[in-house]
Amino acid sequence: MYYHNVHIFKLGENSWSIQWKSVPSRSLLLFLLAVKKNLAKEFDAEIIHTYTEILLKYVTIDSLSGNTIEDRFREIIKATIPQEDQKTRVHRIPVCYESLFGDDLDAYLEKTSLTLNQLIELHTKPLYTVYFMGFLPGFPYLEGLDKRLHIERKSIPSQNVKKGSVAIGGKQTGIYPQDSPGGWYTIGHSPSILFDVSKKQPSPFKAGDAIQFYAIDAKEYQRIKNQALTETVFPILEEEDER
Amino acid sequence: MKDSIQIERTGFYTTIQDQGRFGYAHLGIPESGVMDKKAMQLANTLVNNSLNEAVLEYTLVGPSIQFLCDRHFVITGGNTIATLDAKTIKNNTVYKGRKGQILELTKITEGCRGYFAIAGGMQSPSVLESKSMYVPITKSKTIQKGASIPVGISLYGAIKGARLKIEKETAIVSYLKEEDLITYKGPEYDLLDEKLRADISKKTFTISKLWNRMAIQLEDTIAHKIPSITTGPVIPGTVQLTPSGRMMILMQDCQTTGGYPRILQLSESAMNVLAQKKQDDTVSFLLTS
Repeated sequence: MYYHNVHIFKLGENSWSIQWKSVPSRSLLLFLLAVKKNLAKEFDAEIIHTYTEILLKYVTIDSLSGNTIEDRFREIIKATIPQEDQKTRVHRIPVCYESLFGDDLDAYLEKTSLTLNQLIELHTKPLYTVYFMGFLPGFPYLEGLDKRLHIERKSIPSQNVKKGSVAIGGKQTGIYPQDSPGGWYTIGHSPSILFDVSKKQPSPFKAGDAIQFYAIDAKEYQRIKNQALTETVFPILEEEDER
Repeated sequence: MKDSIQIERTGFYTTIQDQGRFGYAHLGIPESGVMDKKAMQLANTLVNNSLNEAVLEYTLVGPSIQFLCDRHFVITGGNTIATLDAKTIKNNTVYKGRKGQILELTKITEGCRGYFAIAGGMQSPSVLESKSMYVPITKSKTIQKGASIPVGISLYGAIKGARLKIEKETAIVSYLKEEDLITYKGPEYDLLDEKLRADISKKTFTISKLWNRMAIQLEDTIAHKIPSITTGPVIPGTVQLTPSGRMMILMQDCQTTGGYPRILQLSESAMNVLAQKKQDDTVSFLLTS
């Protein structure tokens, strides 16, 4: 399990990094999330996690009776039991797999020698796991892309990838909550809103959630897009039993 | 009408900043906040604000501000040439701006970033619990010409004896000349070999033309063969080593995750020193543990 091979590192004056020398996996993710929850109960800090690491930023310590903070982290990790049999939240995200803004779909199909139908089938089939958010506000790091869809990143990044763009780069797929530069191939567009600062929860996604894409045509894209002008249209959220 | 000030001229990259946005990093939202916390806290203390009250941060050239109410104010940080209704005023000294008066902040002659704090603080809207400007969290990236910014109720002079004992002017600004950055090891420091470690602690590095609120990149390269890492968390002050051998020091508006080895971590005091550095200035790392 994940109680061993834990490396604790003090970062600067008041931050700590806890690293697991393991390969990223869904079971490690669920363990990290459970550890994170237990750490948050005890430490007033900003806590970020990625694939194999938890970082506590600006830790304020009230009292640590006789213990070093590192010992306390280890105790918390040891006492953590990952939750099982929980329901998975699944976000269903509509995607129009067309070059609506003259982007990279044709170049992508040519490079991978796939047909549009094959791309849609392979891209909409998996349930992708949200590992964490980073890079941009609300940008989810997803795992689960089919090998046949892997492609080397573009040699020259695009300066303006449009908000809602669904893209593939390397072994990863992602969706842009805002306009941004980016080096991945844009293969489609979602009309859904993926980040809204006026909401108490600005992002619909949480680490551990699943995402599934479904194909829509340009007409449906426009309909949802119009609806999103007046209300926050987050993707559809459903609950499913743990896979 | 609410008490306010009006921006007549914006200066260069002038933003409203408090100490930053906390509790949202797990959503990929940068911390933001002032680059030089020391100067900002001094400014707020001098006008008897709470330490997290929002201030204006400007870069190399300050803004021109018209007072639409009577209010005490102060400028701190990089040494700024300043006039109030054409009369020269000093840095780190509280003055009272009168309704209709114009404060002209022009060139910073020493340092890089200046701070304008007003008694009562800037009362621009908070987004996700902070007033710090960062697109797309806030609508604008910088303050706009003609904008009027509401200010809060002044507590200046309200509590006698709470007035700060000011250090001598020379002591306040001595860090502007500082070039040593007190630095800790980063999580991937161990990947550096002896020679690289020696290079980093002995060499003097020059600030490249890439210096902004997201990151400050150093000009001089150090050759290495350290591979990229699995994307890990990063925070302001993290020093990343790019594949081309450039050191990239992450600043307040940095992302929350990154894939380059994190070789060093700046101390809080080094962040203040570095906030006052611009292109072609030099720094060196003083490694501590």
